[in-house]
Amino acid sequence: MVEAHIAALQDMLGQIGRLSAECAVQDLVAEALSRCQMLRQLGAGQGQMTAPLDRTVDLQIFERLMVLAGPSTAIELLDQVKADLQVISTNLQAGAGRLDWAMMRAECHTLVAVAGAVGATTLQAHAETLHTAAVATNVAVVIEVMPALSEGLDRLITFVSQERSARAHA
Amino acid sequence: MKQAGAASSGKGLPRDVLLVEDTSSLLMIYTAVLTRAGFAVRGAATAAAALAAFRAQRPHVVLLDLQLPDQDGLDVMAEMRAENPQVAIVVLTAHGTINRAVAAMRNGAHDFLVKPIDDARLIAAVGNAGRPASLPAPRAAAAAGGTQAAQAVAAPTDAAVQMFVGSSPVMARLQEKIVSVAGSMATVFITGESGTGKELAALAVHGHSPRSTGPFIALNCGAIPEDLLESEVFGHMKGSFTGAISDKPGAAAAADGGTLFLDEVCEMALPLQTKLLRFLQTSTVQPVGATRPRKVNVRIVCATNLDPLEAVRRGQFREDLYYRLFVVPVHMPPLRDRGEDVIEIAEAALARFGAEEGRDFTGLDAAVQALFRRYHWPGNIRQLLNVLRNVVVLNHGGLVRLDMLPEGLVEAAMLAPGEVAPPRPVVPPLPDVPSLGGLIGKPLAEIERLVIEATLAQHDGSVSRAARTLDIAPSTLYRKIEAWEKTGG
Repeated sequence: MVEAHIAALQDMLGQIGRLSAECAVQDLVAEALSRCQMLRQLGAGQGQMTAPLDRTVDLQIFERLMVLAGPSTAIELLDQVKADLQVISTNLQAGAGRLDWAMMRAECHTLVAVAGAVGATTLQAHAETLHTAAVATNVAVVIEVMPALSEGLDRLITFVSQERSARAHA
Repeated sequence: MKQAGAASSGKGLPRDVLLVEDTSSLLMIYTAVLTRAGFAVRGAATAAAALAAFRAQRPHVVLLDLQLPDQDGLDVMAEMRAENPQVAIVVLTAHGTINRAVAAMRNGAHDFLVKPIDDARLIAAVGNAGRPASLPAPRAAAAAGGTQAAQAVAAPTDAAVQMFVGSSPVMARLQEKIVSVAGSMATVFITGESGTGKELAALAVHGHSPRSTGPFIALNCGAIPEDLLESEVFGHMKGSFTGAISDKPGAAAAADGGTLFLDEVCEMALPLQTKLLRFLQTSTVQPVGATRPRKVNVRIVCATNLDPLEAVRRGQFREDLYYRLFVVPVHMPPLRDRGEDVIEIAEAALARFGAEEGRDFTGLDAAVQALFRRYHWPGNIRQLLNVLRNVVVLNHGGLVRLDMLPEGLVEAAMLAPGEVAPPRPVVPPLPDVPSLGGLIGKPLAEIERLVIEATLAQHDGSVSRAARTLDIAPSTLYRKIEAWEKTGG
């Protein structure tokens, strides 16, 4: 059921992207991204996440960072990473919804750095693509990348939360 | 947030670092990396806090994020430099903002790092920035009062610094390995072609090791005359031979508590290999002319661009020494095997050289990128950097196009690897060769340069063939050419 909605929505996103060069589509973009987010959350609630969480990050990079931080600081660091990612997520959704290019660029900068530091290389690549789109004010690419980026961000936040819990109880 | 508490309040220690970063998690991560490497780090999340800490702490190095919530990072840098022109500022920039980094370099930044930042690169950049210009590099201590040859491997070269730029899987694995082995005392044997960054790998091993606050002493065994090598490695006592006008500790003793890096180790003379083996077995050094040995605590890292086992088979390298040294092998991949790294390295170098030369280059056009991916790069990163330095010096800016590349490179890239000799390296115009009589009265260094340049000319600019004729390692020749270029000669 959710998959059918997502397919229809993706079709709609494609049309919006094609329209974007010719007219102002801010409201449509916001609506589409918002509905996409809702469907994604619904899909996640039904256990439809596409890949195991441990594939969210390069575990070698992540573990090296944990070793570097040391056991006590690692928990504090994970709390901080999670807090920063949540702020980025909120601001990116808001920035993309109203096509605030400056906000999107700024948040992408931070996301590239944080995702890269913890080994979330796919999310880092999505953030780089979105940053390039924000510099070029390319609505079509924003629409194409945002769903995957948002999903990657959610997955990373979940992964960090789980790691934090596991380490706190170790 | 946990931070190093060693930052002094009044005057800064040589390893005092002020880290200005507004993203808390990144501030924690960079602090952890630098603290592990022995730096005393104080953090600030805003421009106002950074300026206050700067005035109180007087740090030697500032790591400055250019994007701050309350003030532009470039303005903060200008204020800091106005108050202390000697401070070394390394700017942190984000993906897609290389122009800001270039602007910072033009305004006096010491270096720049693009996020996400590799920890080895971070440590190397801060370490280099923190080294006062008036003092010799740590490793040069070994050569204090010694020969020019021993000092020839001072600060990391451009090629070495660039090694850790790049995100190819092969480099990620390599860096993992370096970090893993760094913590032990095991001898690391680095192999790889000339120009692949063996020295920076050695520095990274040292930088990640528990002895990173100790000295890192580098010796190029191929660049030191055979009769001086023993004295350079083990030292000598005053009067032990003609010219020994004072006691000299030697590299092994100078590296006590740190790391001794023996570059081109397969070129070490056999008699000295015996002494090196004894040193490794006993951990004692006995300077030439000394009556008693001295115990030292040194970690050995060595490197060669040859196949060490082949050197053993040829009788050039002692088998027992080989097995003593070849404990943890680390192989530096050639640039042609590093995928997209060639583009990342080229773009980073272009920004750096452009800033240094006051030229505004915006990147590589598609044809140049394609050529860089296709080319065999026999001289590896060192050759790539020479090409880009040549482009930056001879052109005004904009996108780098094929017609800006040095003569012969485009043609060489069109041919299959091994089909022709490597392209001409970037070398100064070749002089007329004076007769022997014309050499008399010239300094030895000038004569050496004349002979090398004439040999290069005879071999149509081929460094590898010239090196064979001169019976020295190609890397030694590259280093000499690089040194001449740096001194503008």
